[in-house]
Amino acid sequence: MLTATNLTLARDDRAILSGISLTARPGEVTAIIGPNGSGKSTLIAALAGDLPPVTGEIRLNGDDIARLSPRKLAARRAVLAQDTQVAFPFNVSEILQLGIEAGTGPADPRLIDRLLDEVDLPGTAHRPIHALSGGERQRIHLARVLAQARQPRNDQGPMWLFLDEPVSSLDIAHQILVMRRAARFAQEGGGVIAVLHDLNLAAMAADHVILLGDGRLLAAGPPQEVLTDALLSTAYHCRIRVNLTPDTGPFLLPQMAGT
Amino acid sequence: MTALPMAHRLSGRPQQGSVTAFLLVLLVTVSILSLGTGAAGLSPVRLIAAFAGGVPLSPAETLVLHDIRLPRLAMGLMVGAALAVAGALMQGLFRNPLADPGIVGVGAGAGLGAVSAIVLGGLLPPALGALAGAHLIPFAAFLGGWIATLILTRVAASGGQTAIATLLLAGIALGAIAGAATGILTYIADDQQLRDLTFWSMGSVAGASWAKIATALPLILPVLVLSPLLARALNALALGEPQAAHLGIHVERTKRLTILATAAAAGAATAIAGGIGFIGIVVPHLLRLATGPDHRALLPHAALLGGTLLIGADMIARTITAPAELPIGIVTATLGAPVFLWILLRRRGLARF
Repeated sequence: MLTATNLTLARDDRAILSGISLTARPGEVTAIIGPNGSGKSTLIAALAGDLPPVTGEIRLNGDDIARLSPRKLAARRAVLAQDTQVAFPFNVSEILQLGIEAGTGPADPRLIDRLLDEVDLPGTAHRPIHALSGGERQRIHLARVLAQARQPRNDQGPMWLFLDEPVSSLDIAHQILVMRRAARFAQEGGGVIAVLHDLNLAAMAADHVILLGDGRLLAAGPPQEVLTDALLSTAYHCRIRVNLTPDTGPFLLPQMAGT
Repeated sequence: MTALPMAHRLSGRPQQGSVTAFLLVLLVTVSILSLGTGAAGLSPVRLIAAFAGGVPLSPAETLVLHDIRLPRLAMGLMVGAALAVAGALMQGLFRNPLADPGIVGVGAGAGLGAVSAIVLGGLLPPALGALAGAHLIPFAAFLGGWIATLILTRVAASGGQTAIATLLLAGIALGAIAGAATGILTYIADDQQLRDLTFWSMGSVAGASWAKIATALPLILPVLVLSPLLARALNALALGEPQAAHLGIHVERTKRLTILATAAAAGAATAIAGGIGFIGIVVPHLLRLATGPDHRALLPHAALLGGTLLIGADMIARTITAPAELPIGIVTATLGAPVFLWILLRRRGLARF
């Protein structure tokens, strides 16, 4: 269980979010949505332990994350950052090795190949990471995160995945692949918190949705309760109609692909 | 935890073990050549024959070996290893293959210390001056490098966070301050002091002695031996500071230890051998090209190759203008700078460094 109580979050002494209390359960995919600048990344950074809250407390599997050592925290959560630039020409298997070493539990020699298959990048183990495209690199880092979280549950309780816009550079097929993988991780007993930009994807992939807007938490609950005309229109400051096709032109739903 | 051999088998890199063996063989070979090179007629062949149980060395030959060539070899190995490891550590810390202890002001601070000792050393009370003797310049250089690092961490580390950009800028500022102070001291220096200054700034292992080695070894040896303990953290740091924290690394502690290790190794090396450039940049760079950026292999390999390269450069410095000697800094710059440029040209387009 992840619980945050009465969080105030600030960056460079500027308040971004206040009065945030929320709960996320293992076994579920929790999506954080909201307009640009609503504090989605700030919130996930705080929940992942990167950004100490100004007030309030975050508990992961019952313990205050501020009191957990980096090592312990790494055994409870893995994080996919929005953008990761690798400074030296590491190759793919060396990047995944970092995840393997940070995680818990045995790693069989086939793990790297299996994870590369899962993110649809088979045979890239010996490629330098700089030689890959942006979308490919994003999936390699997802594979690294999955290597760290190879046990959805361990002696520290459920493992948590924090994904900050995990599909931002991906085409629609790979967006679905990544969200399905996250859902499978939740089914296996882990917890998933993902910042998502695409409301369709959130509607499809999330069990629980947290809607941010105007520096506050506007709503939290199952997608059908949060993704409503009224709430979304308030949050995004524009008229949004859910479940209606646009008046003109073709449209695509991720639900229609890959089935 | 996964065993290291698996990591290497899967990495698709050359076997690190065989690279280590190659570097060791290279180091021993160059060492023997270095011991057998010099003004006195004591050749490598003569040395090997003596060690193999042939004609024993004469007392004069033994003296040359023990008091001149061995300390020079030991100091060259130590200084080269220290500079290369300090370079690799600093590059890992700054996530930039062009970073070097010279950049963050350790070199400038050490330089100011040395110049102060050369120019102002005469103002010390005679008793103190006599006590310091030949160690005054190395000691002052080390002190300068250390103080520079202390100021640096004071300026750049606020609230338990070390901002790399601030650290680099502070290094530039410190370099400018130390450079200005050095300029003033150079201006008031007399002719003899100017000669000493020029010679020190070009770097040398010519004045090697067991006593000098003893002043630097306590600072350099722990860094060489213990730096591989930072390797996993530096690997993770290559992904960025938040990412390293996600991977369970204590980022602030890693940065503090790396800064300390760099100051100790680079400061002590500069203190006893003067300004020897390019080893700290070229050696880690070559090794990354050959065996990849994994610091677990990079740091020990940098020590081996750095030592080898420096005694190789020293051999050239001793022989090319024999019986006179070229300052070693000139040799490393002459060989190192084109290699460095070549590496840059080769890398261009490959990555955005």
